[in-house]
Amino acid sequence: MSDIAAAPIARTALSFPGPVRTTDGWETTARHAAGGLRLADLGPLVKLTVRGPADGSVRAALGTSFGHTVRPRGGPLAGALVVGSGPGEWLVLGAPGTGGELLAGVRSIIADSGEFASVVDVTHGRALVRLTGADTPLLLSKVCAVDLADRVVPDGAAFRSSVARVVTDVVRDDVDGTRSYLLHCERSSGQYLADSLVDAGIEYGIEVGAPTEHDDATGHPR
Amino acid sequence: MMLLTCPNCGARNVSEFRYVGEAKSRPDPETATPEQWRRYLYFHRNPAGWIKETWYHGSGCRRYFGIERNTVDNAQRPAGVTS
Amino acid sequence: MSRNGQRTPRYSAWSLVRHGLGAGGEWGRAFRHHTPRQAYDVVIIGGGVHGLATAHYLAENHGITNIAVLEKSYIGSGGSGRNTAILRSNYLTPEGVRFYDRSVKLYEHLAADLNFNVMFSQRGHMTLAHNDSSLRTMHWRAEVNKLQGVDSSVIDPGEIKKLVPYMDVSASTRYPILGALYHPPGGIIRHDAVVWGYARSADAHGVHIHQKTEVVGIDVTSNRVTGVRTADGRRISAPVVVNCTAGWSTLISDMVGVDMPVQTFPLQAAVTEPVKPFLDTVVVSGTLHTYVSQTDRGELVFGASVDPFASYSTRGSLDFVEGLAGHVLELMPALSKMRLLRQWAGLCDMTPDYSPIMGLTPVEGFFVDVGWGTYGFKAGPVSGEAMAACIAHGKPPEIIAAFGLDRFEEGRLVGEKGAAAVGH
Ligand SMILES: Cc1cc2nc3c(=O)[nH]c(=O)nc-3n(C[C@H](O)[C@H](O)[C@H](O)COP(=O)(O)OP(=O)(O)OC[C@H]3O[C@@H](n4cnc5c(N)ncnc54)[C@H](O)[C@@H]3O)c2cc1C
Ligand SMILES: [Zn+2]
Repeated sequence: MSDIAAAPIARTALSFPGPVRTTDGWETTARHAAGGLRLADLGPLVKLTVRGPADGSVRAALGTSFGHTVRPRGGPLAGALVVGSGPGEWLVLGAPGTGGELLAGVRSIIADSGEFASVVDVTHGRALVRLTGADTPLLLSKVCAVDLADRVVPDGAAFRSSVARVVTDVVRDDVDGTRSYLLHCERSSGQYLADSLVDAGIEYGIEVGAPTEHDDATGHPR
Repeated sequence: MMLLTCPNCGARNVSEFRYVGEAKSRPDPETATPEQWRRYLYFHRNPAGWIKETWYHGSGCRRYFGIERNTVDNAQRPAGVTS
Repeated sequence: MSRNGQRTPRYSAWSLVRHGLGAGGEWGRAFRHHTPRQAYDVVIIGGGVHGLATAHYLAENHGITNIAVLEKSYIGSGGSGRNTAILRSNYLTPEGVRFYDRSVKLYEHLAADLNFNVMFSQRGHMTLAHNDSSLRTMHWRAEVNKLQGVDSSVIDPGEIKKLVPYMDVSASTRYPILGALYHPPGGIIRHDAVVWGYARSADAHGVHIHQKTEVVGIDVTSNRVTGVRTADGRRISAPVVVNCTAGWSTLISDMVGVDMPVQTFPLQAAVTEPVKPFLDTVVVSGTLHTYVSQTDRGELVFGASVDPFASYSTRGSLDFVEGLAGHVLELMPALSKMRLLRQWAGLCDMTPDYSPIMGLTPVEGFFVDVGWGTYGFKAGPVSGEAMAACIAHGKPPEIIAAFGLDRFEEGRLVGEKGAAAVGH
């Protein structure tokens, strides 16, 4: 991997003022966010969209359905985060560089199912950020109308809605008991979405930075 | 903001949806006369009261669905048997 | 003060002074209250500008005065009292331009004709183009207008800036302004005054205006209209019934079984606190879905396109104000500190081609003057004149011949969407 890392081949949808760094062939911000409310660019993560029957064996093999998430411990998708992003629609997020393996994994699931289903690698076509901190519900309530109370969106829940008028997949994925959300949207709206989130977060002291080495592929602590 | 209830996603701001219109059946394009086709395109019942209609949840599940809405006060109820 | 049988007193500067000095007693009512007759020659349903103008011209031009105008609420309670009062004739089709031009001409001397100050202010009307395709439509409209003798031309950003100094015509905006269709005879009017003026004149000719009188049924015998029934249990006979109910018009046509290509959509508008005059023309932007004018009192009146779904509800929405504010500030950033005072909605009877439906129907004696959508206030005078002729002669006059109900099944649409979807 290191030879690719020396010469970046990809940029994420987001750019922020300040230094940049190159990891896994991706150029991202080198800023480090330490405050209580942080926005991290997870653009380099592998992103696959899967479509198939909402209630068949593809669903059973992926292990989750619309509105929920799962982190498979074994099997072809071990280590990835599988999000039920719509009825019969999934989003698979994995570590940078694991696209080939994950794609092959989902393809084998589809082949075994015999169902009419598809998988597409949209890694470079989407933006992905993680928003972490106790104040995230306050911040998001300014730009998203969905009620984020535990009762409605508990840890591990997912929904798609309008966030700052951008159609966004929102995944609640708490970090060590601290509120945290993944936000995923079309690449061309990514910078706008991130800027809107930062703007909405200024009063809560939001900081922007890359994930730390303590985070796993999905920005979740190991 | 008016809320509309999507059968997949639940109640959402109406601005997340696209209004498709009254649910009606399309004449067969193979056999319909131009007059029949234009009636289908242009004419509406436009009732003041309950109407069965189609909406599209563009900012959410991206699915079409049927709902019954009262056009006088915008009250809603799930569509009965949507065809 | 009863004036039964008396001549309607004229309004004049002299009568104003006299009343100001307390010498004239109370101002008389502009129109009278009557007990409904059992039969009329013509029953007009709907007391908006269209119904009242039709009554006025039937009496004035054709001597037909045994008329009732039935209004379920108060006159002007529909679109006629809720619109943003823009008058213009810079449409897209020759049929449309000719028709609306006749209306503007009638409006120009309406105050004198009705002896009622309707405050028509021909301050000019400007439709902005933010991209090449709308600039092309503006040129198209300007040429069609000129051929019909209507004053319209395309102007450049420099000329726009001269007319509206507060407008951001720089190239750095999100939707840069490339030019505009400028229409000097367009302007705004006092909409209530038009309604009251026609009502007063019709009343003076002996027309009965019945408010709080809702029509709940129409009687038809052998495919011929014979009369109407009202919510208070009356039956009123009439060989001619005219549907002038705009947003409610399909409900009326349903009573006689005439299907119509009409859907009812709410249209919202809003008004700010008054400020000193700074905006002389009406400014419309189709791309930004907004338009603005300043009233004589100094308020800014804003409008937009119809709500995104069909409804009979006239409740305002936050969505509308949010979108509106964003778009208006795009055009005139200096307005960011202005406060909105009110927002409201009215019902619009939208047709597939953004042109009206006027004239005869398959049911004898049942006439329609509907499909006024978001643009019908300006058409009040010409429609009244044409409908009166249509009723008196039993056949639509040339000026409305293109607007018949039969055009939809026959596929002869008069497409005005490009000139009427935002700039009403
Ligand atoms: C916010 C807004 C802005 C607009 N801006 C413009 C503009 O700038 N320029 C322009 O030209 N047009 C504009 N319009 C459109 C214009 O207002 C209408 O097209 C026009 O007023 C229609 O007039 P009308 O007389 O046909 O109908 P209305 O004025 O709506 O009158 C219809 C009447 O029928 C009555 N009625 C309904 N049912 C019954 C019944 N069963 N029995 C008895 N009476 C009944 C109603 O109470 C109502 O008073 C606007 C409309 C709105 C809502
Ligand atoms: Zn949905």
